[in-house]
Amino acid sequence: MLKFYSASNGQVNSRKAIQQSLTAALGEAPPSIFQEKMLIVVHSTIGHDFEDVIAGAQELCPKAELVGCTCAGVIGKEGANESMRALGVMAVVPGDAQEYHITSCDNIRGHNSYEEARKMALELKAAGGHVNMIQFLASGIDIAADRAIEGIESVFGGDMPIFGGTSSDNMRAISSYQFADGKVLERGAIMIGYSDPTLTVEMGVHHGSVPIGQPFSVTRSEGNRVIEIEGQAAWPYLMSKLDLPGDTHPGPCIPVAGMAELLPDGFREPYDNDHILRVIVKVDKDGSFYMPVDCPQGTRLWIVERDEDLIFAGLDRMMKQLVTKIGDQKVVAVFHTDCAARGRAMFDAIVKDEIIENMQQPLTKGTPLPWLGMYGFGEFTRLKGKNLFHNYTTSIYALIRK
Amino acid sequence: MSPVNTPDPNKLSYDELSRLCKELQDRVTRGISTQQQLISIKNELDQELNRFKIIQDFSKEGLFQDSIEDFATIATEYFIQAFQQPHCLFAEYRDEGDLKPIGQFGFSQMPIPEVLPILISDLPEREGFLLGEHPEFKSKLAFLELEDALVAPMYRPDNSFYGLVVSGQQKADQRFYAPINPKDRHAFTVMATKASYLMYNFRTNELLKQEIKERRRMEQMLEAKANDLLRSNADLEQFAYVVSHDLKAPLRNVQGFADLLRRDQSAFSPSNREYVDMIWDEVKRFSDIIDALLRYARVSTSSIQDMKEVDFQQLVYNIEGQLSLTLQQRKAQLHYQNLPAVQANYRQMQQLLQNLIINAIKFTPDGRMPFIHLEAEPTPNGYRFAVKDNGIGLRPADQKRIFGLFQRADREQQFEGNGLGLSICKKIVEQHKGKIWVESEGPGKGSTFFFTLPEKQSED
Repeated sequence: MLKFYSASNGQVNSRKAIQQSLTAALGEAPPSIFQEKMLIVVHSTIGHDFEDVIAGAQELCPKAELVGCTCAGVIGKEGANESMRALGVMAVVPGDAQEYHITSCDNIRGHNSYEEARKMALELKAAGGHVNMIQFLASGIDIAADRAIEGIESVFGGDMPIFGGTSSDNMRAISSYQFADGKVLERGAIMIGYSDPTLTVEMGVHHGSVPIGQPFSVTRSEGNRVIEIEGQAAWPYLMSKLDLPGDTHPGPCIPVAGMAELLPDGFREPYDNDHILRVIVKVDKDGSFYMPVDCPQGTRLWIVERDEDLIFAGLDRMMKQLVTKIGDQKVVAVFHTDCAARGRAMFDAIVKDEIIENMQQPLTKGTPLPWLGMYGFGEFTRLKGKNLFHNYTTSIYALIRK
Repeated sequence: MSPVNTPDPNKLSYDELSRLCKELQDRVTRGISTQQQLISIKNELDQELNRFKIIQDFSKEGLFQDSIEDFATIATEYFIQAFQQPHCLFAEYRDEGDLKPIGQFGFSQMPIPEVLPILISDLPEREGFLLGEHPEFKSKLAFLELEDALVAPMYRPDNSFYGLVVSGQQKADQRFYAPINPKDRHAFTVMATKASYLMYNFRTNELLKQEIKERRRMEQMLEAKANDLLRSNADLEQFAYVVSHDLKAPLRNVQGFADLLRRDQSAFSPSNREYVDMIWDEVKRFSDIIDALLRYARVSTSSIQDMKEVDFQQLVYNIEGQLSLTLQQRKAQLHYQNLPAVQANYRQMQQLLQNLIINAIKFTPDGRMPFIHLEAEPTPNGYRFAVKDNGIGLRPADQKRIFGLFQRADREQQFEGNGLGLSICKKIVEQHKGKIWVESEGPGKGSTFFFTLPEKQSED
């Protein structure tokens, strides 16, 4: 039976940061726990020295396997921290059985997302155990997330719940990093297969943006690469609509250049929105840009703006739905992926704290739960029985003890 | 008839409407960027507020470090947190004129000199500045390989130069770190000022701590010595007691046999008789010394529980009665009046005054009528007693010495005595937390023995 412990801090010294987090997280357990085999999931902002983070964790918990990724901010039971050096951990301690398995790869990109994800899924399956949920953390710059999902589902089937997110930097869209097997990867992915039969996962997802004006049509594309919109180079066209120079780097545009795509009919109601959003974090010199999912010719894309009422009311609706789904069952831990643009890039400190409080309170009910979240570039969240990749959402994954 | 094909001049055409609609849409989408700019401004304000919270936290934590190096490490970490830069160097200007780096963050791979090659005159500005704006100064810090940094000199409360703090980014950092905002120099100056005051307070505290530590060490040393002294005194007293007590028994035997010989001297020649008398005298003297030693040793064995209120007027009256024969023989006059009552050990007070009065009589030459005057006057916490005589007086050199064991002012030993009487007096007075001393204008001019006693004996 897996046990979960979490903590986060803004300590700037990387070794101290990981060690203080682990000490705080595992502090309530017997001291011998530090010597036990465990999984440590780490989310860290980009300013930390990742080698030091890994070394610090190994020093304190020599039998631990550390995995994780960078993000634009960490969300823990302590609140959100988007400083250059923020770090959070979720320590997952198994019982007698091997209740989790990890696989990773170090070169996942748009063109090989399906193959790499499938390969990892096969390794996970071969490792044994009855995997009943998968946590997937991947590079956030140019992965084709829908293809990665297909790769995993090709091995485990579409009923396997997949949750997680893609890593990010501090919203500059330059590089993001992943940690696995004692190494720091730049275009890697980590797949954690949980096989604790007493656990299930319930998920909630929501974004609070609405499309504005008329849609643009994709007039030329290849896979997830959008080359032209309305017959013009895609990125400069989009920038012109936002009154920004055509050569603007995608990083600073993340909060404003989100693209909305119409959802199929059946998903609109559970999503509380007619549109799903897409983030652009990579632009080629020829003015084409990369979507995180396939974007065939003819796709209609909208510019979106945030709707504060929808953000708050929608979040409440999402949490109510999630709490209803959980019912009387016990939540033992929460993983959480939020879009990097939903942090300080969109809200001031007070509003951000309020949003996080509104997410945490219905689940914790006043008693802190192990909680590890990150502001990443994208979110893997199941919706209406289907694994989907989202952007600009809040995605909550509540692990429930049956 | 209405002209069917003539457009209404008051209505817009489809093309015009489309153009206006597009224009409106463009205005709306462009507004998103403006909204975002507003959020960025709010963000900067949030950051600024957070920075001041960090400065406050730094003030709380900074002072509670064990060493100046720990303080400097904490300082660099807080500067990193407040200004979100990857590197920080904290240097203290020492009295010898060296600017010594005492804390650093993110420079562990860099060869930082033990003394920074910077003079006060090299500082381009008195307040915080950007390193990139001062190439000459930047070249002096070239070993840090900083592309740009916030730099602020620090000053003591008296405005003298106290150090330097530098926090910035190298070329490789610029991938993720935004260029330094020139507006940050003001907050950086504020934090550097805070840091300098904290460092100053820390150093002052450090000196105080050192002083306290040194005092504590001295106190402990003195306490240890006092304990040693007490222990050796106790050992000595125990030794004196045991020796005196054990010597007493064989001496009593010798005295007994000498007594027997004195009773039947018929068989002795005159010179032998003289020898027997000499043996008897010496044995008696020896016995007196042992008695005195025993009395001396016993002084410290009296506990504080033996203390009670002693009426000195009554006590001297009793002593006068006990010494009446001696006083009469020497035609001595003893004057005393209005002596106070003081909490003390009665037996020891009796011994003290008896010794002083007997001494006064003893050390008055034959042919002179001893005149002894006792008086007491109040002091802030008790009384000062004086026993004045018209005896042989004392040379200044002897005035302290005579309170030592076996010390006598009468070097020629004209007067009988074993040199223990005043040692016993001293010990009694000190046992009562008082002082004893003697004043004399010189040989032949009499002496006054003073001693003080507190009105009440405290329990410690």
